[in-house]
Amino acid sequence: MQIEAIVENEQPNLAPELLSAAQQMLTNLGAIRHAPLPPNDELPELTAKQLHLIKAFELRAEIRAEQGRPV
Amino acid sequence: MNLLIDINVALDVCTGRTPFAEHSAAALLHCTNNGGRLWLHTGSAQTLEYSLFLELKRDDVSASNNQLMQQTKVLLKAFSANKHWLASLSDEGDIFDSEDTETEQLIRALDRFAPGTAKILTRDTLLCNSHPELAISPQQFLQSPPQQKTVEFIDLKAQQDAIRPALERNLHRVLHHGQYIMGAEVRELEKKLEAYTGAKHCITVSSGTEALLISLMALGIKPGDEVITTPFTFVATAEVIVLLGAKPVFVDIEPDTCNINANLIEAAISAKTKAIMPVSLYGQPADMDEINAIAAKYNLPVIEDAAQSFGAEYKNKKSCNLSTFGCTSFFPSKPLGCYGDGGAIFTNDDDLAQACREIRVHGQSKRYVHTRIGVGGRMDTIQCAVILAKLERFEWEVTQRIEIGQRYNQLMDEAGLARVQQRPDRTSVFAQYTVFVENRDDVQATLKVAGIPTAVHYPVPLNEQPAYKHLCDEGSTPSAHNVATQVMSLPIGPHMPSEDQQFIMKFLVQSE
Repeated sequence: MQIEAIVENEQPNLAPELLSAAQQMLTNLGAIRHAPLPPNDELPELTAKQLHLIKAFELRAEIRAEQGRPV
Repeated sequence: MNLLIDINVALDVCTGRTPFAEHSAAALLHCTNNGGRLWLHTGSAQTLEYSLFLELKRDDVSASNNQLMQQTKVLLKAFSANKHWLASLSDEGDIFDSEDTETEQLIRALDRFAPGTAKILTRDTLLCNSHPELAISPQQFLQSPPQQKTVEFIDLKAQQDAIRPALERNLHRVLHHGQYIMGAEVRELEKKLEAYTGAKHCITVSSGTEALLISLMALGIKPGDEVITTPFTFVATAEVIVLLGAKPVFVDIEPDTCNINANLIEAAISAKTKAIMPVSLYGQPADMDEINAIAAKYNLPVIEDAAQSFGAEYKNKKSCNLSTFGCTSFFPSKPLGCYGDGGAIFTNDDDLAQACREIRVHGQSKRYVHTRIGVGGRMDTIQCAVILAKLERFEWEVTQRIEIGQRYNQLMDEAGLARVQQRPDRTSVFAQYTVFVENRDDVQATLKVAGIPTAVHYPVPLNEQPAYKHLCDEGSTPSAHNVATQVMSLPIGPHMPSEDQQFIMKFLVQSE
């Protein structure tokens, strides 16, 4: 996991109901991330174009990291 | 506030990235909880997809690329489901002089919003520092004070959110084919409106006023003729009669529905009477059976001014198809409105339809052959394209309008407050939701302070207006005179949440 600095020291005081709703949103998306992955052999292979784009966006992430910018 | 979500904030939330995810998610909710809108830029979709893929891959090295790509797509569908897609426009293409083309696109995308109403939500400190007026971090945004609750009188933005893909597709098609006058969308819309109303002919025109004028011209209304109508309406109803040199004969209204009182029409008929023009006020048709029967007895045509009632029904028949002519308006605030001026004429009479089509184009029966006096009254292709996008969900909107109007009725009745009544044999599409109040100025002022807009439809009957009062006897329409001092319209629309109605009613009851 890439480590990024927290650029602001001042922490907002979040209303409990806002915090709770935010955590619910993250939980819902987390449930998608933590759901069992589909069997690999049932999925289409990534195309050469997709693999090329993965490389390109790895480069984007590297450049932004060098610039001190978040990905 | 409109927030354009930068990739890093979207990834925070999608991946639960610590320590940022909580504030990023809270900022998104803070925006929508305060009536704001969240946008994702279509130009960023691929960057979002592959950047999320790489983040997921970093977190789970055991999964295959195929599995992670599948997970990426499912996550992005879920994340984007309650966001608005902001289309990338051509102005965001030539950005190659910029050091950071990705950010430049987002900055340019903000340019279409009113100044100060939109920012990029980002954790990019460089961007926040270099463009503080355009970018804000989740933490900064969370520290912004909540906005005072306000209610839109007619919430066209919520409607636009729902139709944006169809709207943008239709508008861009017109821009590309370039048939700005009488393009294919004009006839396409007319056919769809014929099918919707059941009328044999629909002739789109440049406004609701033009629809009335062209209908009267098709009937041959001329100086010296009289047309019976209501004084309690928008001025266009009588204006077109006077423009043709004819005289509007004002018949009083029913004090409970505010529509023309059919029982008083026959007494107003003279040898000069050439038409009857009832108005389906606030979205509810008048007593069309009774009016049509009187008209038949005296061999008169009936023109329903249905500017406010498109979508309403009278005894299971659609407004606009209830008489000789039905004329509606597509003014933006109408139940079916375009983004400018527009209107339509409906009739089942082939000859009258042909006359209207010719009058709409300068009385032209074929190119440069002018067989009658006409006007330049065509509806723009681009406005037809807007209506076509809205028509896809119009039935849903009508159902919503009726439900929301009835909910208002229930709340008004429970509070013992006076309102415009609806007859059981017809529907109202509630173009306006109108109530009666004694101390109108005070009530309006109280509601305004609470952030609730109101309007008055209409403060002065037409027969008391300076330009019209010489055309009728003073005091001849006492019901119209009385209700004009009391009517007040409340916010309404198909997307109105029930909480807003409760909010409005709370202040209305307090102010009465």
